[in-house]
Amino acid sequence: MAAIHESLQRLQLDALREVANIASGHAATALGQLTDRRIMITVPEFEAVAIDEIPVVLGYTDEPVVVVAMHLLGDMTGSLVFLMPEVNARRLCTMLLGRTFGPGAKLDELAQSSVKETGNILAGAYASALSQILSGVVMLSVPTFGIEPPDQVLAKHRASGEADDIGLCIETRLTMDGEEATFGGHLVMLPNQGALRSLLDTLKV
Amino acid sequence: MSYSVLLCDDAMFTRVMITGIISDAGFIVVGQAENGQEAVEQYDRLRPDIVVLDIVMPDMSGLDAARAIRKLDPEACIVMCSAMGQEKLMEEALAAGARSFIVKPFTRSRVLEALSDAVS
Repeated sequence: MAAIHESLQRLQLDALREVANIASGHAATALGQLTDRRIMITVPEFEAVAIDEIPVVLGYTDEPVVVVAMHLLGDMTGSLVFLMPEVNARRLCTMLLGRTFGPGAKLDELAQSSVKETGNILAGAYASALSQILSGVVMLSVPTFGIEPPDQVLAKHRASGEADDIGLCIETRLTMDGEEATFGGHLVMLPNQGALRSLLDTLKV
Repeated sequence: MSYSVLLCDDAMFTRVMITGIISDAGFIVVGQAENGQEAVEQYDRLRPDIVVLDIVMPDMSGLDAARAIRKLDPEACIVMCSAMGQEKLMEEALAAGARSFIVKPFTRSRVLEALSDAVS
């Protein structure tokens, strides 16, 4: 990852990275329980990126990816978007459902539900970390599932008119049972206008 | 004794997982719902021993469904289930009438413990 949003200072980025670290710890526990495997998450890569640059910075092309999206409600408002290459989603489904989803295999209703619930649980871990930091309540909306190009997903968010122009991107590198796992993705937090400022104020940076 | 259970979660995956866990332990899943409104309607019709409610569901949330179910049946045995294990949400769930709370993702033992706690 290269681009860093210019409006944030180094101390603020460090603070936001620490939020991501805490959230990733929650997420590792959550994913380990979901998969019944020993999941470790290395220090996550974290970047604050202008929304328009997110697909390029995260290494996505125009190819559709699996998207699970939720609104953040309560003491932190915005969206949480979980992005995962389709090939990784198939591997995740294979692990969760115990049947093989090979290249080109269509994700059926149960498979889509399992990916959606994984995104929901990871986002729930992030919401819990945010609620601890804010000493408040951070809720998630009902998740939506789609397979679409990342730039279209982000464009929809921008079109809401409430979005800030920045996204906080967390890439987690997973190791499963001591080996490099291959079902990683990106959790992108897209705060509404003013929400990021409130978070930074709470962090006193 | 075999307890009857109504499962309410918009995620099919979670309903399948919980069904597998509790069926193996002798509970009987008598109905499934995908949103809060369906949950209330099915509760009224089926009157199960236990109802498991996800908090975040379309149309009507699990918390609102819990309140509606408690109006129908003040003794309803409600177990809330959510990916958001925040203390204030748990307090709200208890205030809405829940007897126990399952945080997703869950282990088999935690699900069975929560259901046993709720009926005990």
